[in-house]
Amino acid sequence: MGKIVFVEVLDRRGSVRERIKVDSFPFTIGRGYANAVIVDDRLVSAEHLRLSLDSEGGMIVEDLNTLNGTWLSKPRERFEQHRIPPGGEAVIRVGQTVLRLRGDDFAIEPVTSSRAPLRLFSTYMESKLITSLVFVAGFGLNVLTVAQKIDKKVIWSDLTAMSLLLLIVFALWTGFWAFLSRLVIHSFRFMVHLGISAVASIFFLVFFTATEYFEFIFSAPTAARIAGFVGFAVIFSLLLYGHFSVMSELSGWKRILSSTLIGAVIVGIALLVNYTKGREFSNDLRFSAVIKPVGWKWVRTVSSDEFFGDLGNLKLKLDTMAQKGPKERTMKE
Amino acid sequence: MENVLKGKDGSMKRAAWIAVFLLMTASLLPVFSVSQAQESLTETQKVFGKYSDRVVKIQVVEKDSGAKAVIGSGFFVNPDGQIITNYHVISKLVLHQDRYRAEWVETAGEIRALSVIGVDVINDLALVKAEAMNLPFLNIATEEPQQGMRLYSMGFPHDIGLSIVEGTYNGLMKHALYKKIHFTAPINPGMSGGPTINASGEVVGVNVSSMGQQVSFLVPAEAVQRLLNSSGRSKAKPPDFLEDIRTQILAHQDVFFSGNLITSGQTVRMGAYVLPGQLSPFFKCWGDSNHTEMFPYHTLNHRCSTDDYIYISGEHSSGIISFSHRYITNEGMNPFRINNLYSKLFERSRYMPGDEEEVTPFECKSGTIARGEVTLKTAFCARGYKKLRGLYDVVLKAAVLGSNRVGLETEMDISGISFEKAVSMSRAYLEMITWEK
Repeated sequence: MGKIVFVEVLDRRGSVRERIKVDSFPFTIGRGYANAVIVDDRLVSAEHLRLSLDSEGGMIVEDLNTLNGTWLSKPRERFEQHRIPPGGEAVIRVGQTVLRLRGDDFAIEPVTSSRAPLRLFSTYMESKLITSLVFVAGFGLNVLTVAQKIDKKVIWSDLTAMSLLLLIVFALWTGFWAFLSRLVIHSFRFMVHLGISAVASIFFLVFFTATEYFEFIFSAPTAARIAGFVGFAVIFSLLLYGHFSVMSELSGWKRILSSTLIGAVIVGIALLVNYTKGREFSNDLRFSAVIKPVGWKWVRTVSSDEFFGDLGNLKLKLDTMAQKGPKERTMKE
Repeated sequence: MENVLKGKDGSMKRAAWIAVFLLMTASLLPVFSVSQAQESLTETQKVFGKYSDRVVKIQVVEKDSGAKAVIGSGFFVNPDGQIITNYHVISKLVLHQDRYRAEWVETAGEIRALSVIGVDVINDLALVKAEAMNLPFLNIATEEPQQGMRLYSMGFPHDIGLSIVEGTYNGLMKHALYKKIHFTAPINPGMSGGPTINASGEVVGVNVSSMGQQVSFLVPAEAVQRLLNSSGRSKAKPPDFLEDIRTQILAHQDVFFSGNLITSGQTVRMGAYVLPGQLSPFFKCWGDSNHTEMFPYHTLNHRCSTDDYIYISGEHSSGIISFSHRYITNEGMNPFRINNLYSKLFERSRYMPGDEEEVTPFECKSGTIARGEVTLKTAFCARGYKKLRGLYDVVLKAAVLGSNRVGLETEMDISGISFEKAVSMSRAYLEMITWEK
């Protein structure tokens, strides 16, 4: 039997989108319908490249003097002719399309045991069932939390409105990433993004609830606020990393770096806004008002001696501010 | 709450004069038919004719624009050209000397300069000086009038020209934090600082504020005499009025405000809690309950407030103490919901307006205080006055922890108080909160 060659069209993440089996040589690849493999890509010539076999069982790829050329994927270089040794492969780029050429003698990797450590979070996210369950859990927990904040007897109308709002937020966020995915890897992967968003929403919820309890128990609004910012940054970066790993061509460490960077920038902006707002004059009272259903025995308490005996710093702060005195008026009233 | 009388700009001065003239002419008509009214009318006319030239209009003007900022009244008290008016009429000048100047308007309409020589912020009085000598002046009464005595109040209501109002003396106000005469007559904004005199032209009080149509208040003559005695005569270094105001307020508070004011007052019971109630006769208290079908809880409110205060500036006053309690009964909410609601109610507080020029922002301290059976989530917030150093506005908030069935949260606001007093009063306030089976 003669040699068989597989032409595989890859997406940008390297997954196979289409696989075409060819067993007669030489054959051509191009946009025209006279080719054995047809590529719908405006940058690909009608007859773009020819693949033939040599006497030793290797494959010869030839560019047919095209306008945009034929390129090796790694290293990225244009070629006129390229030989693939027996058992080897080549990833080439024609126009915007990435093709992988393998013969039937290509050596695959050995089988992986099902007990091998979990590979990728996103692999599990590929399962529609798991994703749906995660989403239901994330959405449900959020709605439940919101429901505890309604102080009316009949809560259904409020709850419906809030659920709808939450759904919209989920849809917009996931839709945004799905759209980006479509642009980058030519596939929406909506469910995977939805799963990632849902997991992050659970993280956010658990984390912020925890900081509230922390603030209540230790009466430490400042520490809780700082923890809030840091925690937000971490979870947000993880969320970005999740989305990136589904859709980006970046290598692992680059993904970590960029998601951390974006997370840090966003939290930086939030801190800056917070800081400027804090410097603006306001008559608001900023005190800790969180009350949680925790037995008072668990709450860190002080005696009234301790509380009122320790107001010196507060007075000092006020006196320093008052010392600065009224701002000079630059404009007339 | 009383309204401090304050005049507004008026451009209808001439029209107003004519109106007053017409009214007075018209009021002469019934004289011939009712003989009793005749006497009183002629008396008022006599008083007006004899003493009106001793009452002057005072205005505080923005230097740059020349616009009138405040208009009030005043009267000469001695041949040296010294005039008594209300502190609140000239407070802008005292607090912002660089931006305002004070003037008085002569009978002929000519405008003359005024300078401040003394203030008594507690009694809302100021002593100012005109560069004029040997003008007729009013004497200060030395004896307290009889209740029901007919008195005559003069001033420039709403900047429409000098008016005289007659009314009756109704004694000193009971339960007032600051001594005031209750005078039954319609005193209007702009008459602030004008004199209220008896038939023989002696000053019984100074117009200061009103409450409703007929109820007005006067600063007693003795306070005027005190201010005259204490200031003005000596021509030493220029006095620092801000420092004077500060000292006066702090000294006054030493007498009136203390933890003792709170601990010796009445209490009020809400559920099993005993809380501060009407602390003293000069507090007014009221309560209500709120139960709407829509909400799965109901609240019981109790609020007390001093209805008297020391005026400092348009936005500031000292010596207002107000506090409120809210008792919440849970009707079927789960622990998470009731506590979220409790947080929400606790977070609310009464809005205290303030200007960056006058006050610092609030700084707060939060904590949970355990006292015997009661555990209180507490916040103590304060802001400092920038001009009147050493005075603060304070907000104390507390919520009782430990029950998912009932909740109690309370707030006390004190304005213009020393830090130490604020702390000791806050502490006394919290220590008054107890739980009884």
